Amino acid sequence: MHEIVTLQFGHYANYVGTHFWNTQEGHFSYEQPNEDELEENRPSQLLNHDCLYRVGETQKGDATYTPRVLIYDLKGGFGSVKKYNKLYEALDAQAAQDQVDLSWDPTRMQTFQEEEYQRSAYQTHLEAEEEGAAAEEDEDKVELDKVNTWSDFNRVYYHPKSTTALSGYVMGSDIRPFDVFSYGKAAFAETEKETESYEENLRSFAEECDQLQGFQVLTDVLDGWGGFAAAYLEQLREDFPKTSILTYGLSEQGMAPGASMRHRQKRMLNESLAMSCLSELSTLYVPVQAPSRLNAQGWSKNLKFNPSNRFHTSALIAAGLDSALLPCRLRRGATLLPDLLGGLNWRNVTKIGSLSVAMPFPFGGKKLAPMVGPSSPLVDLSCPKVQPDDEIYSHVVVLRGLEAQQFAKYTVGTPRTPREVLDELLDSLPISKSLGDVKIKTPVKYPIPTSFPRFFQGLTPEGYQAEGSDGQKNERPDGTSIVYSAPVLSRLAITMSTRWQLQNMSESLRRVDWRLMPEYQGDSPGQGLTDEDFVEVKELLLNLYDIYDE
Amino acid sequence: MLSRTRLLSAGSAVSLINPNAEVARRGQALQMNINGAVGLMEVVRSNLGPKGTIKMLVSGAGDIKLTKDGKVLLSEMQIQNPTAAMIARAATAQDEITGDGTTSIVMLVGEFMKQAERHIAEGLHPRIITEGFELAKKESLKFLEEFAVKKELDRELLMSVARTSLRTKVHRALADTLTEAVVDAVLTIYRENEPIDLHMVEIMAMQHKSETDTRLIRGLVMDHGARHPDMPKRVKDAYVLILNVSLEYEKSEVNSGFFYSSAEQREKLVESERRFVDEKLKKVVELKKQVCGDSGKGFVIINQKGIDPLSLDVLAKNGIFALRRAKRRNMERMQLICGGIAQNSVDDLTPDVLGYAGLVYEHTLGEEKFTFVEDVKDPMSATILIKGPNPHIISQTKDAIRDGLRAVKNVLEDGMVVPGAGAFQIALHSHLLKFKDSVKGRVKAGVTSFAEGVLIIPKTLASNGGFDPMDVIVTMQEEYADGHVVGVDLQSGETLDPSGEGIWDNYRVIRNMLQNASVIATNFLLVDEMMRAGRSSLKSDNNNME
Repeated sequence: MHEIVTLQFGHYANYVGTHFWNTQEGHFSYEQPNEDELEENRPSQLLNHDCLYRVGETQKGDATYTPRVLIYDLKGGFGSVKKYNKLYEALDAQAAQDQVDLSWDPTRMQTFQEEEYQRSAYQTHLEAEEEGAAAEEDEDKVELDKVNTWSDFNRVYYHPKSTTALSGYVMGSDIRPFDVFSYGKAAFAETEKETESYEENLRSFAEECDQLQGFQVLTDVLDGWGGFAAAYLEQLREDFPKTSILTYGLSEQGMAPGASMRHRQKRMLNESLAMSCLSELSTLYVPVQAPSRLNAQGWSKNLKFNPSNRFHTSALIAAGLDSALLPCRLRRGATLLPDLLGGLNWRNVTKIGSLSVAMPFPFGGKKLAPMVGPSSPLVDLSCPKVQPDDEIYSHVVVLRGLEAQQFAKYTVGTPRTPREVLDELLDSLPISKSLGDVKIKTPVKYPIPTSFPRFFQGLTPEGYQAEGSDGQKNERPDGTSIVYSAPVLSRLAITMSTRWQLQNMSESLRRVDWRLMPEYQGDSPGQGLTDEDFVEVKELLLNLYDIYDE
Repeated sequence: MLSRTRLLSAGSAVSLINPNAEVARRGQALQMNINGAVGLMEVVRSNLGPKGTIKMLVSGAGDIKLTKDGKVLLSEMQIQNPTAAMIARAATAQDEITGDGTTSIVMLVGEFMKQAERHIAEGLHPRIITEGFELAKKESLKFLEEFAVKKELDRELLMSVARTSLRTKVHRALADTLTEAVVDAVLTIYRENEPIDLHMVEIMAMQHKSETDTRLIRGLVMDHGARHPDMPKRVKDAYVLILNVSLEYEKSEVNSGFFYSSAEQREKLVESERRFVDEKLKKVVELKKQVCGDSGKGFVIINQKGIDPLSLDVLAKNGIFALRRAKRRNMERMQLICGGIAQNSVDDLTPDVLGYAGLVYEHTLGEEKFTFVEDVKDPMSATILIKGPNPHIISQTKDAIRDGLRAVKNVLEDGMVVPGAGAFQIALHSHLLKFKDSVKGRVKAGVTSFAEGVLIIPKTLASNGGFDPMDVIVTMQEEYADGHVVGVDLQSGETLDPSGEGIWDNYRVIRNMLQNASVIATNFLLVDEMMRAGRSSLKSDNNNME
């Protein structure tokens, strides 16, 4: 009931997605139920897992519970993730050969073996665990920092329908790079012709849904993936004209050293095209980029965070995404996606949102950190530039993993109740109209699986700020804290700050000489973008700027 | 796009503009191209013909793909050599147009370049060779017109063509079972003087532990079932209503969220929206009552949009079998199969828009459900149902069926066929050698290269069959000189009469093959400078390093 289908387009999107799905597993609880507790009060019962997961059955008749997700990546981007994994295992290579040998002359079979993907230490450990050769407790000790693809820290078995490799492009190829928005649009048509992934897989996941809440889309936007997502969503919009689509446009930090002016322009052009196309097609479009600078007084106080490590940045983003979507998945008092997004975009013209996150939400210290100002624990993942007087039209704030009575500690010396302290803290987040002010508090913690970057410091296992010597007791040899769950605050907002980004894009676009960008215009007519399209995009961004500048 | 960025011929100016560029000139550039083309040819060579090898591709993660099809092989392999990658792309484009011939094109390009290399080594300018290619190509196409056979397009001929194509894709026994399904599928959708839309043949796969079987269903098989426990699982003598109408309670964005001033108001809105859906359902149910009455006839809805549980409930109570979220294409197919007209609204429902099916039933297999719509009158669309024990066999069969369908469609559209088993190439070779004498000057060399080049096809067929290619070619040439059209018999290594054996190739496949192969080879022979620009990837290399 109230299902959500997630779509992931691109390698970085899959980094974020992998963290997202690894975390979901932490939301399930396998612990023995406490007899005294009412069933619905048990932590694992607070969330409706069927929103994101589907029940299935293997050929052998075993029941499965797999994410309702479609993962798209380039060939070579899947690392060690197999289409037919242990759950839905096909025959292994030898058995396949035997099968074929029944019908083919065995001497007439040739094998082309790609170099086997070198499994990460973490992945090897997980496999050993399944065979009983390693202990779950040791997961935390396995080396995790050398991540090459998202499969290196993936803990989830996906349904065979979930994974699709794009036709025609190979990861990291110099011969045919996937670095232009228009390539992505053409690649969707091409891939659909080869794999029918939309028509077969997406359709069949959606067909299963009784009351689809909407789609959650994660896409890369600096390369061809934005175009792929745009073509995909165009089709989706035709088939689901009213269904909510929440799209996160992910841009990854970091340029190759020596990247040329042209490369910069292409990235910017891709990003702008994605922004204009995807915001049209989505119910809400949220550009997302991990912060490039640390703030040891503010958001990164308890993090040993490396802004140029995509394993780290994607984890931070995933924490924001998961928390933002939490209201849609609550078993009681849920705010479904159409309501959530409709409430945010109450002006009906502001389809670009922004996401901020406090990960972890600082709790347990002597004082509560102020929510605004330079030492705010919130970091804005969408707007690189924020001015203090930028208005916020609406927001949905989610505070998870803390209950009001825990704030009793901060009532000492004041006449207020713990709930009042909490409310006052959240109310200190500015908002211009009470109409769009939604705050949701839930005790559901953000679980930290062992696949999460070990970048916490000065925290207790519950993710609270450690006082005195508590912190040291909870340290790994390298000084990071062992954390099993954390309180997180996320804030999905429509804010005036978006205009800076729009302005920036418009200005950069003005400097682009479109005639020097033939690759965007496609190989054959109808495939790429025309001069008029380009002008239209520029105008659209300017219009959006005006909307956010009011 | 590659040709734009890398094959610049602006000379050394390139290295001035981009100091990072690596440049290869003249002989060096040509050599690189020839090596790339010949290398690619070596990879696919063993594929060719019914005796070619099957390739098993194992991905880095361990996923398996089995194929004997050049197109599939080239698109699955990660080709690193730029020349090879471009040839692969050009050759797979051939598959788009004609559905077959990828391997042959790669072979021809490789061999043309190899033949040209000999003359270039002797000091001939590549331009002379390519001019010869052009002449030879034109002459070949002319010869093809004469050589191709206009035949009556009966089922038997179509079976021969399909069999010839399929036997090169899958093993003999499987090919022979597919042949009939493929031919009958095309004949079902074929209407004289109308273009053939192969999309109207649905290919549906069922993974089944113990069965390997492929058959044609004169009807439609869909990969989903009814989503209500009380719906009938088997409906006989049924009216079919094809809909593209949402039967879901949907909130529009405008009245969602915080526009309700009170819970009561919200309830009211929800109720009114619900009523809107109920109205639509009422119209459908009324139509059902009108046409079925108490006659015991069935009523089936195939809807492209969603149907929510409450609506399913209403339909189930009224004995209606309903499918939601049908494939877009199935809406078209459904109309061709059952008759009836797809409806975008329920406002003007009349009995005339209904189709008919004698039997509609559901079949469950593991987590998957299938719905069969059968017993229809004069269907103009059909389903090929594949049952296979595992995904590799299924996907290999699917690929083969697609090619088989194309082959049959091509014949119907061409109206003629070309004797296969290498017969055409032998004849063409001999024709071109005669033609060469009428050509003046050094261009002759290009014509000779072309003529020798096309022999690679029968040579490879023979060597893949385990025979000595030279022996086979000589025998064939002698018999051809005696006035017989002969191909190679891959069972015995002797010659055979392709028309007697029913070995026919597609006319348009051969035509495109000659055309494309010579164009591609010409382009590569004329490259005299190759430059490799700096890295083009937009992402930084070592993102994960501390």
